[in-house]
Amino acid sequence: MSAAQIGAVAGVAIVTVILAVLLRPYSPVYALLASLAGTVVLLAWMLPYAAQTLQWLENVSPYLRQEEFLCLVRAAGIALIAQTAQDLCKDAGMTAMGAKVELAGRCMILLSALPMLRQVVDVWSRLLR
Amino acid sequence: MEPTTSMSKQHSPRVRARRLLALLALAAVLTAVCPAFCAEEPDTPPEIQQFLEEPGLSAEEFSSLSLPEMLAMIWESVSGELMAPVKLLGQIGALLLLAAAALTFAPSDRWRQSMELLVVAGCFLLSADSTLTLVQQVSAAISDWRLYLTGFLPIFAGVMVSCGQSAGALVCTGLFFSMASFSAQVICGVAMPLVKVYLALNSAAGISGVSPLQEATQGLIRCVRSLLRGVSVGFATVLSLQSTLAAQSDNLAMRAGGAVLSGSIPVVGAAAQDAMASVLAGLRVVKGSLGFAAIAVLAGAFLPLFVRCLVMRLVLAAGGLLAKALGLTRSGAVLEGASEGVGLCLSFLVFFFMLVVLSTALMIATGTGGFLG
Repeated sequence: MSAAQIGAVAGVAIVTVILAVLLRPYSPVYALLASLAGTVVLLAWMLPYAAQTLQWLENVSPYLRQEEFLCLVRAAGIALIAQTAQDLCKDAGMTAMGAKVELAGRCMILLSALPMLRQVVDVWSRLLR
Repeated sequence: MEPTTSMSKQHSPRVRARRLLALLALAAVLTAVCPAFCAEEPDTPPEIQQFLEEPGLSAEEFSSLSLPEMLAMIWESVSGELMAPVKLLGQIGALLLLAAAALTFAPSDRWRQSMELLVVAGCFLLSADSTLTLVQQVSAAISDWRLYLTGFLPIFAGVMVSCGQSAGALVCTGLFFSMASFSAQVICGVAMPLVKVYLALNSAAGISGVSPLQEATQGLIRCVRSLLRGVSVGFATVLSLQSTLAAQSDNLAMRAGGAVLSGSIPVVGAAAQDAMASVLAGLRVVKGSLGFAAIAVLAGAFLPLFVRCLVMRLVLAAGGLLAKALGLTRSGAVLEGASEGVGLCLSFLVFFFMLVVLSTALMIATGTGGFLG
């Protein structure tokens, strides 16, 4: 990612923020929609770079155990999506909803970690047998 | 009546000397044979039996090996031992790097705790198999060495008796064997299970992040170390004291026997005493060789396991350092705790090996004109 590309990302973010701030006094709904559109554009912009990183991680994955690799990548993805949704909720003034999204994200991470935690309990039972 | 009395007066010292020699010989044979009969017949472990029946390398093949071929074989064996820990280090390093990368994706510190839970569990799972295998191998090795001592000590005691060290032989079969068995029992029955509990507690403390659990883990490791220290101090004290006393008692008996032999046989008494001393010197060489053979056998079994434990300890400590350098403190604590657990196994292994080696060396040194003889 070059300086021009990060400049473009910053430009999109600034334009979105200005648009949202301008629209908020007249129509909070449109301001929120502008904020959402900017977020989606930025995420879509970032997807190819994230794919490259994921591709590199997949190349490294033979050196890792698949269980831990998938679990960590999944957890990072869940955290990213949940945090984005939570921020949008906060922008809309719905902090309670944002907190629920965070809770859901944590639950999802724990659920994705369940196979690993089950293995940990198995090892403990082998150690304490 | 008079000739008979004079004859009995003439022959009585010779007869007495013969009877004394016969009694000494009988006592020596009985003392040498009895421990061998009294000792429990050990069952050969199945792996050793299989190795004896189907050796990986026959004597002919071994004798036909050239030096480069032998070095290549040794390197292959050593690299086989080292590959698994190096692979483990690679896996731990890759997991930690991936975790650090994933934490950069995590948008805020609030997600850090959830994600570090996964990393801690991953590090524990990666290291658990190797650590558990190592603990079992150390336990099995100490049990095998105790079994080996069961077979070896009666033979060694027999040779010691034939060298005139009956009190030393009693120390060997009685005190040394009892203490070695006791130490092995304490290590395998108490200390190793405590090490396993420590490993489980350490991982639980790392995953949960609860500080009382971490304090309990530290308390447990202090307890295991104290146990090892107590056993080693007790063994060293009792064995050195008993060996010294036994050596003095044997030396006194040998000097008294020599004086009786030279005094009771009129002409050739001194020559017989010198001949006996030569025979004893030869037997002491046999005793020394036998002791060193036992040490060599145990060293052959000890060294690979020692290297494996040492490398594993270094690998886990390096993983802990890497984790802390990447800011994953809980993962670092779990890896360093596992390294401490492997260090405890290493301590037990070295303790039992040194126990056997020092005791055997002490028994070789006593009665040979060395510092105790």
